[in-house]
Amino acid sequence: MMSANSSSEKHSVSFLHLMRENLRRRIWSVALSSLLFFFMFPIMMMLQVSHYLDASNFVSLSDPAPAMKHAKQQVFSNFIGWVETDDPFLSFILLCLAVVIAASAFSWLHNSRKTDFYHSLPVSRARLFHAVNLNSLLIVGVPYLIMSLLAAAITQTSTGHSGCFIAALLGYLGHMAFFLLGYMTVVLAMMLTGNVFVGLLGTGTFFIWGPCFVALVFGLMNRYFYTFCDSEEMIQWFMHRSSAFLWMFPFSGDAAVSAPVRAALALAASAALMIIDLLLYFRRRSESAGHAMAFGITEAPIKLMIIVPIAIGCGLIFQELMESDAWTVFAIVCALLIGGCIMEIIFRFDFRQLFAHKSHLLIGLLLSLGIFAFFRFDLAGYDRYLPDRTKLSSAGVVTDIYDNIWNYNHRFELHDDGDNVYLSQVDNEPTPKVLRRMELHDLDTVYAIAGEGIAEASQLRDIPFGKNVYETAGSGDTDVRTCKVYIAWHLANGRQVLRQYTVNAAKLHNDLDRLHDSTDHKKAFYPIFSVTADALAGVNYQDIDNTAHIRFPSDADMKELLLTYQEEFGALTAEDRRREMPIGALQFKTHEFQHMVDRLRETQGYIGMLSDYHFYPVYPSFDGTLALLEKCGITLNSSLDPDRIESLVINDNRSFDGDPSWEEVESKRRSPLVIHDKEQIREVLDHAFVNGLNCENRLGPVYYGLDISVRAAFEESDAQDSPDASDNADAVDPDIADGRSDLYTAAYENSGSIDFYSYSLSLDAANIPDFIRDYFELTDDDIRRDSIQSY
Amino acid sequence: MIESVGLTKRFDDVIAVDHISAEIREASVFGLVGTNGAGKSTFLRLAAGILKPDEGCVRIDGEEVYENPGIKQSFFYIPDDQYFFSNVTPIEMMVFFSHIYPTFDTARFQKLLTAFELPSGRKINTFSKGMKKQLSILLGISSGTKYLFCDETFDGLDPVMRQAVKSLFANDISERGLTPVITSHNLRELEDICDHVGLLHKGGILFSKDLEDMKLGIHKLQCVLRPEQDISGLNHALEGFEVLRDEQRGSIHTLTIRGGAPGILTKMEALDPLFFELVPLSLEEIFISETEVTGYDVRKLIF
Repeated sequence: MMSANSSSEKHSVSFLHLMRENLRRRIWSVALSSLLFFFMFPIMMMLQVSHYLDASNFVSLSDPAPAMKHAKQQVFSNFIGWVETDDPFLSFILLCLAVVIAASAFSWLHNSRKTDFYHSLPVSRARLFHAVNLNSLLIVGVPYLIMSLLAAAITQTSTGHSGCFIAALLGYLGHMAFFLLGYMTVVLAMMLTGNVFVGLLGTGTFFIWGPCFVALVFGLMNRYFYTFCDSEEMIQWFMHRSSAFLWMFPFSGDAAVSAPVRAALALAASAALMIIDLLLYFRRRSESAGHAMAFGITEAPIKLMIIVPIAIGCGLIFQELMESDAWTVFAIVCALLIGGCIMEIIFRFDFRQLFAHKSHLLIGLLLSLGIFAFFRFDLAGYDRYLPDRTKLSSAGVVTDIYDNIWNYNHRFELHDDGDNVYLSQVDNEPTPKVLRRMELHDLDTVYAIAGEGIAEASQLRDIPFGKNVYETAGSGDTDVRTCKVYIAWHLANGRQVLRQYTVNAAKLHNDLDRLHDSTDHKKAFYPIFSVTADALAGVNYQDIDNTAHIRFPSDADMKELLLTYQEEFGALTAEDRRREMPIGALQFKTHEFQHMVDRLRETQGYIGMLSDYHFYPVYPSFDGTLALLEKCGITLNSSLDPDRIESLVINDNRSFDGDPSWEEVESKRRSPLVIHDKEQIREVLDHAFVNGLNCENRLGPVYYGLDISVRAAFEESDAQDSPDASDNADAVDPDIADGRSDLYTAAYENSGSIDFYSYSLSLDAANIPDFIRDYFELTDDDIRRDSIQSY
Repeated sequence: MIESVGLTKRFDDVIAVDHISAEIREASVFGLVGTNGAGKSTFLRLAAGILKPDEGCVRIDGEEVYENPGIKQSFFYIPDDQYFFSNVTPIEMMVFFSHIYPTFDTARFQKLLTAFELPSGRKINTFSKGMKKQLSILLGISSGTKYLFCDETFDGLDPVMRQAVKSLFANDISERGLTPVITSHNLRELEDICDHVGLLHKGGILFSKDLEDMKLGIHKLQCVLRPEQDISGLNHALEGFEVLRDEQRGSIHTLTIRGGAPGILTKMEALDPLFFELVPLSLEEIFISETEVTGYDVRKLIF
């Protein structure tokens, strides 16, 4: 090799000549690429311009200028969306081009005549490899650049918006990085194989194997590890990184990786792949042309890497369908044999060679069954995991039994590109984030919860498929209150281990109460505790009738309200929540929150989402908070005036023991009870809670077996400015004189000449009026079954 | 000089070339003969640096060939089934090779195209097999390389073309010291062109010798003995010479003898048979004689 290099230096064929000759052989690729980009960019933009900016569209308007401006903005936005790195269609087109260009660039490696021809020429493999690759880059890159700049020129000229060229260039760089990644991946497949068809199969394998493998592993963990904390974000994170194909596209679950970062990483991965491709090309033997695989040594590993996951995947499907270990094993064996034979046919190009390598099949079978047993019988003890206390620094626990985590941890992001302002959700799963920031040091409680979860997961593993552990525990067991608990073990070494358990909350009454009352738990679960007085911009309140801003006499009052609420909410115990229900709710707005509100209001964007979340309950025992609200002229109203009520309708919505059919349930349920009598209405209202607040008390004494619908007559004092704003506190002008705009949470109905508001009520489980109990023949078991007040 | 040392190439379980050691001198025509599957093409692909040897090496002018572009510029490889780019004409191939081989003589190529009556502007994929062979040879000769590797190149050429190619070779050998290495499964094809011949069988080389040496050192003697003479007298007279073959048809004895012609003639004159003469051996007969000694029946191998 050393002497080879010295000779090659002296007599090397010009690299440019080599590129030119290679390009001559690939004229069709140039034509394809040019044509594609010609229609995708200049023609596409001309169509857009012609469609949106046609003067005839505006002739009927008295003042066409605003419409024209809007149309130009639309064309500009379309162009930006079309060329940007995140555009999935363009990424897909470039991926297809990468496959075509790479497969054709190295197709000669799959033909022995062509391989002999090229390898007999006085050209080093490295030089040939680089010439071919550089040409591939130019074949796609040059037409793409020219056509996108042409489209930018068309857009800029037609709309007058600047920034088209920069956007086109940035998009170009990003997409070319993705193209390179796809291209180098296909070249890798071509280098590893000796046949175009097998090379294309290899390309497909490279693109989909990773995501399929990730899905399979998560599927197995989800199916067999009962404490596995299934996370869509985590799956997406792994999937996004498991394939060049998926890396080209933005993933909602992996939003932390922005387009420039993805492009930069794609470029780095392309460089690494190029080195691997080149090394493989050096090692590749000319005689491998025409064979399925260029490197015989790769056959067995590749075969096993494909057939073992397929076999296990088929086993998993049969497991889901048949819920039987025997069927699972049958599916694994069948899939492995069929998959192995198909792979052998592909490798040998000979149907008679089905069982050419029985040893591979045997190894595959042992591997598949071994992996199946590993998950099925939890050989690693995944579900039994309980960290050593000495290795633990803290823990986080989240359960849905107290509150809906979304109510308080729904995070928004404002997208603001001038005229187009809208909100989007920042993350799909708040639980892992809450768990991450929660640092509980009362580890006895956490161990007790986890221990119960482990014991129940162990029972679940041993019972027949498809049955719930609580079903087998005995129907009608009223001491069973299941709930999901997520635990994050924060280890001293910085690692975090996540587990989820389904536990019987009734058995953990004291532990769950301790957890609820823990300050560490509250601080992590409710973001209100991290809001400082300086960060506060305003407060909204809500009761059964109103949702509005609070006008504070001074900023100091506003800050005092925050601190008082934090103190009282922090002192709220589970026992308190079992006794009382919220009479109102407060939404504390930070400056960041207020900025989003203001921008959306300015641009008439959709603001409703902001009024649905982050409302904190105000309980009757929050004396300090209530007093401060009074100071601002606000008295929270939690009850309806019986005189406004025309009638009550009580619907039977009870559940029943066992697993009754729909027909059985319907036959057991009583017909609705309609109440017109004022005394009875008053009695019901005295023992009912009005639903409709944007917060809830899941520990509250509420009976959900009966639904109460109320029709309340319209009152003059209920007048509102605009029904459109009824669900939206921040849609109101903040400068309304009295600081309150009476906006109604109740559904507004207009029935002929009389207007009504409909309310929904729930009964107090502990105080259901006798006439209702008698009518529906309610037993204590009925009430306990459909109450959620305790565990 | 081309030198192979312990050259070995395996394709899976098959040993295509088995420890071949040989030398090919410059400015001579080296013929490599052998049956199909003997390893001729593999040897040539190894020599052209297309295949990487499993053991041993091929050196051209002292440098190993594999992945050595500098040395690769000293030869032109013409395979049995030459690849041409799709939809190209001879002129386009000429342009391609002229960029690859700095010594490519485009004027000579065009002249030769005309001489061989090959249409320069017609697409090569419309050419007959023979025309493609001719074109390959013309490209090879015009490349101006020191060595020319021809794999079964004469197979498919008509006798007139074969003769024309041979004269081209002869011309380039004398003018610029071209060294063609030609493989063939047909000895007769190489008989009148090769200076040196190597015989391959099952991946190994049976022998490699100068044709002239072989012709000078081996002779066919035909003689008719007088009635009073018998075969023992003839054998006695030829003592000191190795008689490779001895046949008698009627009264005519045909002996293949290793040794110099003057010595044999002197001995025969001394014996004074009724008739004798030394007949030149064909290449085929030389091979039969040489290989029989080594225990091979060359007629099964190459005819």
